[in-house]
Parts: sequence; structure tokens; C-alpha cells
Amino acid sequence: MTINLTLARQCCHRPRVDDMTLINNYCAHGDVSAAATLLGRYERGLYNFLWQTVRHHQDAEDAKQETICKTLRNLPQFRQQCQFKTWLYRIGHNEAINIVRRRKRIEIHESPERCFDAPPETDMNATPSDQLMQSERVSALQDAIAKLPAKERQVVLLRTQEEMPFKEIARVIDAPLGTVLGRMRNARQRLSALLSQSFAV
Amino acid sequence: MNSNVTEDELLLYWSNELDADRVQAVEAQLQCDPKAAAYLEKLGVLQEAIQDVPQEESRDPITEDTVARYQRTSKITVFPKPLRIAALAACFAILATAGLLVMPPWTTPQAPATARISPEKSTDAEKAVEIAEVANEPLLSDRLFASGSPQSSNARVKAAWERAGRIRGLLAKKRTMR
Repeated sequence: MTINLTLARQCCHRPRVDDMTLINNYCAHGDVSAAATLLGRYERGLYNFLWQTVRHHQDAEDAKQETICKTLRNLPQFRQQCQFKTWLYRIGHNEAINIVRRRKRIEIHESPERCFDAPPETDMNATPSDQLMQSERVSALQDAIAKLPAKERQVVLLRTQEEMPFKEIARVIDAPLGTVLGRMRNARQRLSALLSQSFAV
Repeated sequence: MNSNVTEDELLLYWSNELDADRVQAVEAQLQCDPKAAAYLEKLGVLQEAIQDVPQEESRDPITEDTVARYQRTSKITVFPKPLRIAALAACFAILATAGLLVMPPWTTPQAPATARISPEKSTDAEKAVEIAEVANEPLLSDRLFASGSPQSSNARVKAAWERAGRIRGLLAKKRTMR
């Protein structure tokens, strides 16, 4: 028990290895665990980003798989011209766009999936009425986000959820900074109109 | 909102991407412009609200096994650079050795006797006769351009003509026998 606790404490205090070290470990020694750690850091955000673009779980999984394969294949060529996260999301964005284009060709007559299987996190100390209100607010926000055009949705979510700077977002979606800022402005206006009753945005 | 500071600049200020000189201008503007301050506040409220929305999660989380599987499915191999160079050099050496063994540069390729048989000769007997003739004699080039040959060009042409006549005679005899 003591040993386990000591190990756990050591794990907690272990400094976070930076992305470039993990990349070098993978490329130089074929260290699979380094690659898993690196990709695991961004997996959640990446999947959410892909899902928000394609709005379909299976397509998002396909896009994620293809993104990881391409990332692993091209990792030795990564030259720190931008952050690894930006590079990874850029690959993911391209894959998601490919899937959306392919789907348009196939013309799947299927309504986009409703998001978020998981229930929203609620405060355990809150009263049932507060929890209900919170859940309604989250639901209203989800609906409002779903109504945004895909390009605006990407910018809003990368900025607010991923806290990515606008310049990095511009790199991810391969658009000028002015375009990104314009999409953010439009998205904020739309959300403001859609959520005027629930939020003061 | 005052026209000194644009909405884009407020957005960049919000994400800490504005140049230092413009940061001061924006902060001065925020002191005297309640609309700009309210705009920033709304951006903060929006960010907090969206961060409360649960994120979608993959059903196939990334582990070492998954990475290994992706490597296998897409045939990704990662070798250190010196190893890659050594592997390429070894491949080149193997190919070069195999090439030298199959076709050494110090030997001249010689066409097999059967290659010189004309395709019109259809019957087995005709082919057998011609193969025997051709196989038993030296190559035409050797005969015509032998270094020590005293024959003049006319004599060489005459000899070749006589030989062709002999072969024709043989073939005619075979045909009559059949």
C-alpha cells in the first residue's frame, strides 16, 4: 500500500514530458508508448472537433482513425513549424472535410445525430430545480451550437472549448485571420440571438 | 463601441493575441467605453457556458495497442535515420549482386540456336534439319568477319549463296520424302 502510494505520488509529481520529446522518442526509437501518450493528450478535443464537423459518430471515428494513421506516418517530417496540436487538428480538419464531401456525393438521407450521449455534469449540491434549469440551459446551448453553420461552429468551439488562439485556428482551418475573426463575430451574433432568453451573451 | 477599437481587436484582446501597443489602446478604451467592456463580458459568459457543455468522446480511446494496430493497418514502420540508410544500402547491394550474377558484364550474350529458326518452318522435320545445320556450324559473324580469312567479299557472298542453296535443296528433299 505504501509502495503504491509512493508510486502514485511520484506519478503525480512527474513533470509533463513535452510534445517534441515524445515525438523524438517515437521517431528515433519507435517508442509506441510515447506516441500513445502524445496522441492521448489531444484525443478528446480532437474527437469532439471532428464530431462537431461531421456530426456523425461513425464518420468521426473514421476521421479520427485516418487522422492518427496520417499523423503517425508523417510524424518524422514534423518540423515544429507550428504547435503539434495545431498540426494534428489541421490533419483532422482535412480528413473531416473529405468525409463530408464524400457523404455529399453518396447523399446519405439521414438526419445528423443529436449530440452528447453523456448527460451534462451537474452539481451534486444543487437542488433538483437548479439541476433541471442547468440541464435545460445546456440543452438550449447544444441546440444553438448545432444550428450554427459548420465553419462558424468550428471556430467557436476551437476558441472556447479548446482555448486555441485565433492565429492557430486560422492555421488549422487554413483560412486568413480576418476570415476566422469574421466567423467568430457572426457566430457570436447568431448565438446571442438564439440564446437571448437563456444567457446574457 | 468607439471606433478607435474594432471588434476584431477586442476579439484578439480576449484571446491574448493583440500586439503590446494595441493592448494599451484597448485597455484605455475599456475604461471609458461601457459597450466594449460589456462585449468582453459577454464573450466570457459565452466561453464559460460552452465549456460547461459535455464533450463528445471516442468509443475507441488511444492506447499503446491502438497505436500498434494503426501502425500495422497502415503499414507504418519507424526506423531511426541511420538504420533507414543502412537498410537502403543493403537493398541496393543485394540488387547489384543479383544483377552481376544473372548478367555478368564480362560475358557476351549469345542467342540460342533455336532463336535463329524462321517461324515459317512449321513441321518438326524441317525444324530438326535446320536446328542440326545451324547448331553444327560456327556463327555467321565468325565466318564472315574472321580476322585471318583470305576470302574477298565477293567470295564470301558466293559461299553464303551456295550454302543457302544447299539448305534449300535439303528442305526440298525432305518435303518430297514426306
